[in-house]
Amino acid sequence: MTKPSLADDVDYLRDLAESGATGAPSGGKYFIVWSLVIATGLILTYAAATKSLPIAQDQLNYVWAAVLAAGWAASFLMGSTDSAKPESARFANRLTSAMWIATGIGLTAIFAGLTISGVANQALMMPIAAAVSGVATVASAIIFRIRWLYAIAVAWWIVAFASFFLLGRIEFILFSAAAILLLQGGTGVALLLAERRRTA
Amino acid sequence: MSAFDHNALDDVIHGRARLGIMAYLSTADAADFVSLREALDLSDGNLSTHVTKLEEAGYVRTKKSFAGKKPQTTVVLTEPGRRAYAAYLDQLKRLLQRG
Repeated sequence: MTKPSLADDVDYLRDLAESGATGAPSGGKYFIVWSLVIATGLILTYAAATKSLPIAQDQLNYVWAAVLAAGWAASFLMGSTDSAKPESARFANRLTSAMWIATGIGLTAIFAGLTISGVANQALMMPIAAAVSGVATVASAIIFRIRWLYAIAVAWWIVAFASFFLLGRIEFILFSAAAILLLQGGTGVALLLAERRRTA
Repeated sequence: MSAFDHNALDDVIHGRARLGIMAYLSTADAADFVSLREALDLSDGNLSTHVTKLEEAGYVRTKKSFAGKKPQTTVVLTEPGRRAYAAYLDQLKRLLQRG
């Protein structure tokens, strides 16, 4: 066995310092919660549109307000318990957490603007949200060096593109719900399972 | 040529594993035992021995808690530990400049 050189030792220390700063993503459950929240809103919208549930179109705005409020409440509740965990305190997790919160606030602002002003079709929200989610997913992939997240980002952008060809159809609502459950929820489940394996 | 005192090198940190723990914690601040074990590629017993040594020197402290129903040990870098690590790196830098 050869003795490590000084250069090896320096590389070893640098790698450890870098992995100490990065850690591993701890936001899987947030992805799951938000995918469920948005998918619930979309399924209720579909039920209202097809008259499967007695929800009037003008009541849908209240449904969405309640659904989004539930998502934010759950996020802040989980955030308050997570803050004590060492993994959440890592720079990478603080950075990505702030980035995703900012993404969520931005998308909520666009949704509220579209809904209240009525200047454009609310369905435009899906391609906008998909494109922005793709950008945030790439940023997460770079920060945590998780290669499969790049594929998820590309999938988001394909959804953003495909959305424009489905905008007028009622099935578009179900397509959106499925895309969110698969891409957002699926990513969340994969990250959560990785987190569980790490702490087992 | 700058003066270099070999005796000034901190023996507690100088071992490869303990130096690794300090390097990891210098950027992480705190880490659970499993993350630390995986990052350093050490066995439970080996890591435990090194953490105890650092704890005795006051460079780290350990916190016991529960993640759900599972007990979890978190290793936290203390302020004296951070200073000792910085001083160690300074000494190492002097050694390299000397060489």
